[in-house]
Parts: sequence; C-alpha cells; structure tokens
Amino acid sequence: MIIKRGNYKSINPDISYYINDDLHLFADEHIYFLDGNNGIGKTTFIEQIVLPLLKKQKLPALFVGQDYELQLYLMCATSLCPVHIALENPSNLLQSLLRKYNYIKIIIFDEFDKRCEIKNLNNVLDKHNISSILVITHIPSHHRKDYFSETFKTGCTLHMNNNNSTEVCNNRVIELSCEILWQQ
Amino acid sequence: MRDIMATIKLITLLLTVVAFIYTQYTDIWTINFTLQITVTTILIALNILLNGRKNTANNILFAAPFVIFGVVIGSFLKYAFDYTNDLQASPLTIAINFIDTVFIINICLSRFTYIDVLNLPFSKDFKNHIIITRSLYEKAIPIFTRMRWHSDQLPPPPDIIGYFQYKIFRASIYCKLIPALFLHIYNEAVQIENIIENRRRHFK
Repeated sequence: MIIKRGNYKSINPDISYYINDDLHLFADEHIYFLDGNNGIGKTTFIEQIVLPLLKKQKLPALFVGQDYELQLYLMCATSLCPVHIALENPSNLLQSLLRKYNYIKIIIFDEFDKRCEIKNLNNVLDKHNISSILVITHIPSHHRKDYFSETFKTGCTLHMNNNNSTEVCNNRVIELSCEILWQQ
Repeated sequence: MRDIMATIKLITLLLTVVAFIYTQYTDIWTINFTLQITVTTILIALNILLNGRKNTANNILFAAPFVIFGVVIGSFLKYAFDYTNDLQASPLTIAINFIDTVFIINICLSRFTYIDVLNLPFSKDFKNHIIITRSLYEKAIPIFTRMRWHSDQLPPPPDIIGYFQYKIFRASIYCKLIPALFLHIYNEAVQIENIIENRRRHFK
C-alpha cells in the first residue's frame, strides 16, 4: 500500500498530516514502528488515514486498539474464545481470532506490547504467517531489532514530528518520515 | 429538606417518563404523524441544548440499528402478511416512539445528578445500585458506538461476492455486539461496585 506524498486532513480541524515522501506500507515481512511524542496524533493517523485506505484497497487488516478492553468481548464473541482465557493472556485471544479469520495478513497494534509479552506475540505472528505489522509503540529504538528481527526481515520506524515552522491555515502540521532500522 | 427536594425531583422525572410513554399509546398520538415528528424534533433539540451534540449523535447511532431493523421487519410483517400488533400503529410510529423514549430517558436522567442520588432517603445499598445503574447508562451509549466502530474494522473474507453476502457478514458481527456490550457493562458494574465498596470501607 502506498500513501502518496502530500497533505492529509484529519477529522480534527486543527491537525493535518504531511507526508514527506511516498510511504510504502505493509510490504511482505516488514514491521513498522510508529513513534512520536504523546498526543501528537499517532492513533488518529491510524484510525482516520491508514484504516480507511486499507479498507478502500480491500486489504484484510486487523486493528487492535488502545481500548483493548472494549474490543475484548467482541473479539471473544466473534472468535469463540472463552473470556477467562483471553483475560489470562491476550495473545491467546489474538491466536483464536487469527485462526478464525485466517485471511488476515496485516495487523495494526496500538500499544499492544503493554498488555502482551513480545515473546508470546512473536510466536502468534510466526504461526499465522502474518506478512506485515504496524505497531504504535514506545519501545526504545535500540530494543526493536532485538525483539522483532527474527520474525520480520525488515524493520522501519515511522517518525511523527510536530513541525512548528510549517503552518497551513493555522493548522498543526505533523510530518511523517520513514527510517529503516534493519534489513536482512 | 434536601432529601424531600431530591425525592420530589425523582418522582417528577419518573412521572414525566411514564406520562410520555403513556401518551404514545393514545389515539391522538398514533394517528397524528405531524405531532410525532414535532415532538421528536423538540426532544432532539432539547438534548443538544442540555447534553451536547456528541451525546445526541451517540444516542441516534445507538437507536439507529433498532429503528432500521424495526421499520424493515415491521413493514414486511404489516404489508406482506397484513400483520397488526396491539398498538395498531405503523412501524414508523413505533420507530419514532423508540427514539423519543431514548431521548426522554436521557434528558430526565441527565437532570438527576449524583448529588440528588446521595440526597435520596434510601438505604446506602440501594443508593449504590442507583449510582451504578446511572453511570452504566451514561457509559453504555458511547461504549456501544465505539464497539460498533471496532466491529466495522473487522475485514470481510476475500471470497465474499456481492453486496448481499457482505451485508450478511456484517450482520453476523453486529449480532455479537449486544452480548459483547452486556459482558463489558457487567464487568464495569462489578468494578464500580468494588470501587464504591472500597471507598465506603475507607470512610468507616
């Protein structure tokens, strides 16, 4: 999927996103780490720009949001995973959901690492042949390779920066740039 | 004095809801479509004024699936099988009644604050139940809206062909929304009860 270079408006009238260069997302065996300061609009970017684009291009993706507790019961109901098992370990729920929707190849996690051990998460991703994931995370960049390089061949960081110098119609402009962390 | 005021307020609000629901069963209401639309508009405007646009939008989104389902199934039963219910009203009137009831309860509930609940001359346990029910009612609608949004994100299988199959897939997920909402609300109720109990113990 390509998000073309340019300005993207969000539902919040004060924020718009500027993408410096064409952004190639969800390539095979790629993991993308979206980082930036708290409150900069990472979740908004995913919910209002990435998810509608994925839907438009009919790419089957699963979104696990920050409000995981809200999704939990819905996921349990759709995947027929018992609630106590899901509560015990969120990766179990993810596993049964991926077993049910086995056509999902892309996952977007919004700070899921806070709820689930990365080792367990990697096991699930490995088992279900997930081709690409995007993670909103606060894991320090020097740890990212250690955690995910065995599961994914390429790791990229998407930096989200608040650009104070560029203001379009008094809007806050968020710049998004991509940096490759490792490539095998 | 405070407890008397709170009781009067509660009784007035309850009577308002009961009277409004009773009106919906009268002939004047059932046959007068203009009256129904006018009252619905007034209630929506009042809700925007008292509880804001977001709350109103959430309420409409909450009522929408029930209303659409009611109108479609009701019309089908009425016109295909000449089925009439006890109300003798058209499916559209029943749908409007449902929206009105949601808004009237919402408006009355928003006028009855937590301080009013505390001032009521009931036992502590009973007041606890009222506080929990009120907070859950407030939470349920935004939670339902967000859950619906999450359910919309679940991708359909790639082998789905055509609009009809896609709608069946979405409907099968929507069916799971109500049990999921119930479980979530139940869990919230247990948590709120524990928090209140903890506070009570602390003050003892």
